[in-house]
Amino acid sequence: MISEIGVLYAAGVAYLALLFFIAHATERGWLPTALVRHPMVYVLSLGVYATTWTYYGSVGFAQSEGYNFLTIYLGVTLAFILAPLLLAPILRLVRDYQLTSLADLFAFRYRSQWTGLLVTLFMLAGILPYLALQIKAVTDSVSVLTQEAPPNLLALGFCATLGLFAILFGARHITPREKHEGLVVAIAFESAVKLVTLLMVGAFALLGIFGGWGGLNTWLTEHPEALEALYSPVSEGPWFTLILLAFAAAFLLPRQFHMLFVENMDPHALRVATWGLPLFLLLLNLPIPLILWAGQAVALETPADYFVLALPVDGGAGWLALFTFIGGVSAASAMMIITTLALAAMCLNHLILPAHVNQQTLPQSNLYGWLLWGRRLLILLIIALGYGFYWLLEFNQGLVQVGLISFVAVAQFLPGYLALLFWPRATRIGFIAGLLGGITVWVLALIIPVIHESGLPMINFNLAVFMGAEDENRWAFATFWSLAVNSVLFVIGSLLTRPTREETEAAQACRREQFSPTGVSADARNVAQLESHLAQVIGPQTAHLEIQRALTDMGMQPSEKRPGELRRLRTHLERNLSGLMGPLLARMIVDNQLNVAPQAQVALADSLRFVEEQLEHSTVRLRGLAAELDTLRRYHRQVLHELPLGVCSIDPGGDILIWNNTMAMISGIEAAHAVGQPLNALKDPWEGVLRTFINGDDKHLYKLQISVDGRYRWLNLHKAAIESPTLGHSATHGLGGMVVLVEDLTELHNLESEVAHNDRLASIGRLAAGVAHEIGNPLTGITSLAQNLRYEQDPAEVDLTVKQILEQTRRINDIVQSLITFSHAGEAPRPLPVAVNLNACVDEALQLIKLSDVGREVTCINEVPKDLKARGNHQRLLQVFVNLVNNALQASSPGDRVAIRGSRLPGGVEIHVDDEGAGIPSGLLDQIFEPFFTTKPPGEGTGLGLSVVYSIIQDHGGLVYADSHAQGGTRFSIRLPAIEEEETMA
Amino acid sequence: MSALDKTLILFLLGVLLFASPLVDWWSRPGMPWYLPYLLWGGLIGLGILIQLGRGRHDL
Repeated sequence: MISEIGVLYAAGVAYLALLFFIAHATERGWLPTALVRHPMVYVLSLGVYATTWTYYGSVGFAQSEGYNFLTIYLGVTLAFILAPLLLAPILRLVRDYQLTSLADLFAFRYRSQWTGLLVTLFMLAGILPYLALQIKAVTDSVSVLTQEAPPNLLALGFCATLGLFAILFGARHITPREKHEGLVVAIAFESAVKLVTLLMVGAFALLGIFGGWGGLNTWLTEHPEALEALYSPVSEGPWFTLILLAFAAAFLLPRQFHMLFVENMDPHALRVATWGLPLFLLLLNLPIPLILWAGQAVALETPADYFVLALPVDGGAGWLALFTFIGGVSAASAMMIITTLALAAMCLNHLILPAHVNQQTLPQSNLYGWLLWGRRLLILLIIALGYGFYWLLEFNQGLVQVGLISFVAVAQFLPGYLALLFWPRATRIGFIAGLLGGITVWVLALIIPVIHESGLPMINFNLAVFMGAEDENRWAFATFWSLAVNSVLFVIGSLLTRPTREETEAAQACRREQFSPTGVSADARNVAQLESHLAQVIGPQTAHLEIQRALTDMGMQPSEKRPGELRRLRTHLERNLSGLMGPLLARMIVDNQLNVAPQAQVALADSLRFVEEQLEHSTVRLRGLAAELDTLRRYHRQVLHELPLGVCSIDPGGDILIWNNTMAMISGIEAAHAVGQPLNALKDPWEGVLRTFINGDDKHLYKLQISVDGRYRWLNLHKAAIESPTLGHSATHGLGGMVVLVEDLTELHNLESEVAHNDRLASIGRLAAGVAHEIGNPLTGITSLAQNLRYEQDPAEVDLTVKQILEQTRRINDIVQSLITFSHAGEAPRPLPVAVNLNACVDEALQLIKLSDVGREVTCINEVPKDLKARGNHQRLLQVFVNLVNNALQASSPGDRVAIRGSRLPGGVEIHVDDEGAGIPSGLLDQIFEPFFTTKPPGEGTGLGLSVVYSIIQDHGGLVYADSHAQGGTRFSIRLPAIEEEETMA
Repeated sequence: MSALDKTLILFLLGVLLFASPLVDWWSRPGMPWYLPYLLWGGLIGLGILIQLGRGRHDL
């Protein structure tokens, strides 16, 4: 059944068609999202690590090097254990900055086109033989099954099908930024196929050849050399070298980098991968010794590299052989598809695009299409190159040997990768020097000998032999010396050069230590201008789509004008473009077109916001003192935000830095809508209130009355200038501006009004008897006059009597009006302060007091100068004098005098209310203005009078205090602010 | 002990088992053929335990 090439080809094509269907079904959403996004799918997709090297070559490797074959997977296990330190930061970086390949990563960190170019070319050189190896493995597997040389057309057809698949499912989207779910699921399926078929062959070996566990043990007992052959090379072979190479390959091979970072759909899946991938590799390698021993037991003549395939054929299990062949196709195709995609992205971003951008030959319309087809052509070209290598080279080396050449090649990126994570001082010169040194050793120690051994015309030179090492140790030699030369040159080159500003920024971004924004957009004032600048390079259509995408990502409105927000949009655009064209070109386009002024001062609000964002994202990485400081920062910020006072901080440029919760509550403006905004963006009346206060001379403003949404609010405002707390250059250097505290007194004011109202009611109660008496007298007079009027005939007398009645009526009206005025004071919104004649005000107060029965036998004297005026509110000052005189009368004895005197002071006026009573004990003088404090017996005083006086005088910006005379009596003194000259004139 | 500390300890254990002279101890003659797999599986098991103890946002 399987001896026909046509059958095998048909099976291979049918399998690839199944892959097409799986990928297509995923893209169409036919598979449940829970399955597609399951972490195990991600883990299985990472199984692309296991190529035909593992699938076929491991058995051969185990035969020649014993358990050394496990190193290729133990190294990966160690690397994945360190995922939180080694992989997670790169995953964040790749996602944040939309990097699409290892070359992008290095070009981003080491900021040079040469970096990207060198990494891409070296990766191509290192990986192309590995691609060719996969084609060879598939064609060899066909020849093992059919026992005849496969036609070249088979390899070509295989390559063409893979190219088509890679194009359809790996270069499907308009931009490479988008994840290819279909591809990921298909690759995961391929890994599952590899695992299942290898386990099936292992089970066939155990049960079919040995007849079970007991048979195996018996065979091993009879053949102790078989077990010895597995263990003995461990201490003799290149164990540690291979562990190191596999450790590096776990994340540096293009296919690993692509699946680990670029196609990752959920960062948390990496947690599962830390144990999931090692477990997958363990299961994959579990049958290898069994297959090897089974092959030896049945004395297979096939090279051990293909025991996996030959064993079922020899055992007559044709169906299993076919499945195994499919598993081999699976291993080869997964590796080739992903590697090709990764290399195509590198070539496009670092070979093709820079040339077009430098020569300004980028298409002005449909850039996306141009990039897409560019990638597709590169995919075909790379597969063609792999085929060319396969056709050109005769692989005298085993599968593993060719694979190891690639492993040593990618290990050359290890110093650069580790420095990217842990050594901010590293420079691009050091990186390039180190890489060139490592490549040189790699070529001299591995490539030239391998090419020579392959029969191609090449000088017979082997660096290992030249240096006196044995050829068997070539892997250890090449690995050690290439990495040693690489690292030494890297360190020396970095120490001899200084990192550029861009490199420093990139190093900070890699370590998440970038705590200041890189610059501000100098030209663009709004989104439309940003788009028109961008259109000059990437064309209007692409620019529009990119701007729309960035706006959507950031949740911004097209009308956004805030400089800080435009800077954030610009940064996001750069990241998006990085996913499209690589980090270097993205930076170049954004720098050239969206003019950046690196020296321009970054808005403080912007800086602080950036720092906050960075700290929020770097929480899990802060350790030690930094973590303690961050905790302290969070505590202080929390205190600030929870403070029961409104806090608003303004930077020197007039932008709002801090807007705490209370401020948001008082103003009704959320912090998200205030922070970063200039003051004039605030709604009325806040913009006016804050601007006037900040620009004014007063550091404090008391009981400011404002109208918010038709309701009155009373505020105390305090401000202080903020001095810069830092010296030297830092994100917050030049910190300054102003902090404004806003105290909401509305509730207190309402309470005070209520207290004052109660006091007035109490006063009115006290006045009631006097009012009755005062109104009673004129009423009696009016009654008498009216009775007399009935009998009066003389018109002159009638006229006189009417006048007298009207006089008495006016007297009653005056009394009633005074009472009404007094009782209504403070209920309505307070009128603005005006010049108040204090003599008249005191007179009116005395008139009111006369209505009461308090101090009828005490003489009240108004000695306030007739022209003495103060700025204030007439009705409220009337209440002050009523309360003070009332208080003095209550303290006086019959025959005493209460004198009210006034005088001018510099900047104000002073009023004294003196009585001749018993005086107030000095110990009580501090308490008399407190609400509800009274020395009177219970039921005789409310204790509110003097506290109301205190409150009103405070509102007027004045002072009130009391002294007791040495000879007896008490003096209450009031100081009120003076009035302006013109008001006096008025 | 934080998850990162546990991770580092596990890594050192892995290095000790598979990248140190201790390799000669478990690969000496007479050891069962599946011993490397057992050690490897044990390391993976410990890795699973550490991951189970991590917070969702702690990677």
